[in-house]
Amino acid sequence: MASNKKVLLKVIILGDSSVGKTSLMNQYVNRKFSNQYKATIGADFLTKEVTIDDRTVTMQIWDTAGQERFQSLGVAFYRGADCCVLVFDVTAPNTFKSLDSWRDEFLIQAAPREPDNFPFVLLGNKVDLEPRAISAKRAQQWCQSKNDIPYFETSAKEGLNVEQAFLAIAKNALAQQNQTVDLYNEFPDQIKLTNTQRPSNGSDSCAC
Amino acid sequence: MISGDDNTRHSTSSPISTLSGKTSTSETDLSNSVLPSKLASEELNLAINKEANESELKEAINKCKELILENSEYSVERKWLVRHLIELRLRMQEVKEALADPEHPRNKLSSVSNRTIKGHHLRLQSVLNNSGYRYCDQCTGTIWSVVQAWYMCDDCGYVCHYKCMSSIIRECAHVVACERGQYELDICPEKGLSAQKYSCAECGISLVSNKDWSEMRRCDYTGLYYCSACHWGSSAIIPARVVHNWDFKPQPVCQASLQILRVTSERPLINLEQLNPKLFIRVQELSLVKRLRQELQGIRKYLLVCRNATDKHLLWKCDKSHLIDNADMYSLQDLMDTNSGDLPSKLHDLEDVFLRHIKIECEICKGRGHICEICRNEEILFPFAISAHICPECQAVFHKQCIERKKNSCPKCLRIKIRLKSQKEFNNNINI
Ligand SMILES: Nc1nc2c(ncn2[C@@H]2O[C@H](COP(=O)(O)OP(=O)(O)OP(=O)(O)O)[C@@H](O)[C@H]2O)c(=O)[nH]1
Ligand SMILES: [Mg+2]
Ligand SMILES: [Zn+2]
Ligand SMILES: [Zn+2]
Ligand SMILES: [Zn+2]
Ligand SMILES: [Zn+2]
Ligand SMILES: [Zn+2]
Ligand SMILES: [Zn+2]
Repeated sequence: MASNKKVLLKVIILGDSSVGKTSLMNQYVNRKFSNQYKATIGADFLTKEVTIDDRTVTMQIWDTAGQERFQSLGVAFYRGADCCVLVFDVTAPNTFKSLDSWRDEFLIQAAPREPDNFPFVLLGNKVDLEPRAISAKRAQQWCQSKNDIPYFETSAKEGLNVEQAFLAIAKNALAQQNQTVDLYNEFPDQIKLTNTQRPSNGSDSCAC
Repeated sequence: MISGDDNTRHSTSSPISTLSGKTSTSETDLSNSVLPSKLASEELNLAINKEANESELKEAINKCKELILENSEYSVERKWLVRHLIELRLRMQEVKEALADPEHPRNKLSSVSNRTIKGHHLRLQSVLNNSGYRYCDQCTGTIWSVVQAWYMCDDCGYVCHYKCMSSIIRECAHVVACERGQYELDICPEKGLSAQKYSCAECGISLVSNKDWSEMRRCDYTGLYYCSACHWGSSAIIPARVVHNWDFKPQPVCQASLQILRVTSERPLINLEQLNPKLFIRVQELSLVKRLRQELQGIRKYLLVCRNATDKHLLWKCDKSHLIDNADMYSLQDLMDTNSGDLPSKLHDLEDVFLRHIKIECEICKGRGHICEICRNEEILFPFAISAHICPECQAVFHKQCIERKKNSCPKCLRIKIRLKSQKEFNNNINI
């Protein structure tokens, strides 16, 4: 595609409280890290320009609140996402166990056209810390069970793998967007139909 | 008529003022008159400049008397001279008082520019502050601001002559209002004259001794009786009448009540929902204001946590913060503005500005809206909308219609329950 149109990629970062979502975003966008923890209250975004295969695209990265009490604000921003980043803390097993529900809730709220093929990326953060509670193998197994989600081990503190992970995120997001555009071009009418004529009664489209 | 005998507190006529703050009078202040041109040659002899000492004033008074006799009875000059004579006498009196009292503010070395008496923060007023015609709240006499030293309370607007400061009876309305923290909410709670021993409820003077019953005045706010020095026949809107009967007709009140009602008019002291919930059904504007305030509260939650809204000082657009901080407390002014229709339209405008930010202009706020997962309509739903239902368990937001269609069972809560159950089973299996 040789289009010069401005491309905006929307990326959502999800995961339990204090796994390092805000830290990862700050490390990637501002190359800064702080040891201090300040809970994110409402979802907010930063933007960053990246070049992928000679194309400049803008990433709009939404950082979200992991703490439940700050989740009363809505998640309408899930809609139109191009990639979802799931984060857990390799030293905290509960944050790994929550991944399924973060993924499920995302799919329900974002309602992507093809839930099975929607791009997720998993980040196991804080690899600079000991002792580890979740091995790389265990994380990879989970990824395989979810249609081969790419997995990165990162440290927001050391800046380890952060750049690589976000580049992969951007690539996956771009691929998703191109696919959606293609889909639109091929079956424009069908999509219109599915948008307006959803069955309003009957079964939930619950993914769990 | 224009007399300097300010010490007779109970003169027959007393000034009248209303809550609008304007004192009704046809007289003009002494200083307003300009020296008639025919008298120009006498200027130096009349002590027109304000610095004159005792002997200069004495001479000027004599000169003035002479000139009065020389001018014909209805001439402009004579009128001016009579007024000037009064001013000179008042000034003479001030000069004498200042001589006898080292603390008198007219003495250059005196430091009595601020005094705290009965809770009032009294501040000496500049001679130049002759804005409007005032009466002393203590002696009820005119304050000739050009020639007499006078004070005003910063907190409640109480005014008095310097010489009346030592005999102030009335507590500062601001202090009284703060200590009480609540209006009198019984309509004219009259106890009867005998209960107050036939004497003025404020100054204690006997109300029957002068045999003139017409001089006894009832205050509609306190239900008590006052003398004409404490009750000037002013009128004000009474909170109890508004709260119980939605009645905004001004009623006669004593000066103390007037000042209390004045200092509290903007304070959110009235919990109308608690005091008279039926009013919201009866008064259409009121139910509209209530609905708008409830919506604004939900809207405020969004603006409080939005950096764009903070940068734009959006919440500051509401000059009365209590209107959006809570939904229950009203000031008397709010109720008056509701009755006039000003408040509903003001709140409407405010809501429009806020909603334009949240729903159209701000990407962050838009992103923080909800999408009803039952109907999956593309429209972004906000919890403060009338059509929204908020799950009391998980805070998820749906259309009211949609959740009713689901017989009020929340799909998100259901998922959470299933997840917890499978987690437990998983843990049990591990334990075995
Ligand atoms: N050692 C180490 N600490 C980290 C790393 N990443 C984040 N932290 C620390 O972990 C704490 C939580 O980080 P945040 O980025 O605020 O966590 P969060 O996921 O945004 O948390 P919520 O906003 O509550 O959802 C902070 O004290 C960070 O300094 C890391 O890679 N290594
Ligand atoms: Mg955070
Ligand atoms: Zn006085
Ligand atoms: Zn005062
Ligand atoms: Zn009295
Ligand atoms: Zn905003
Ligand atoms: Zn709905
Ligand atoms: Zn629920």
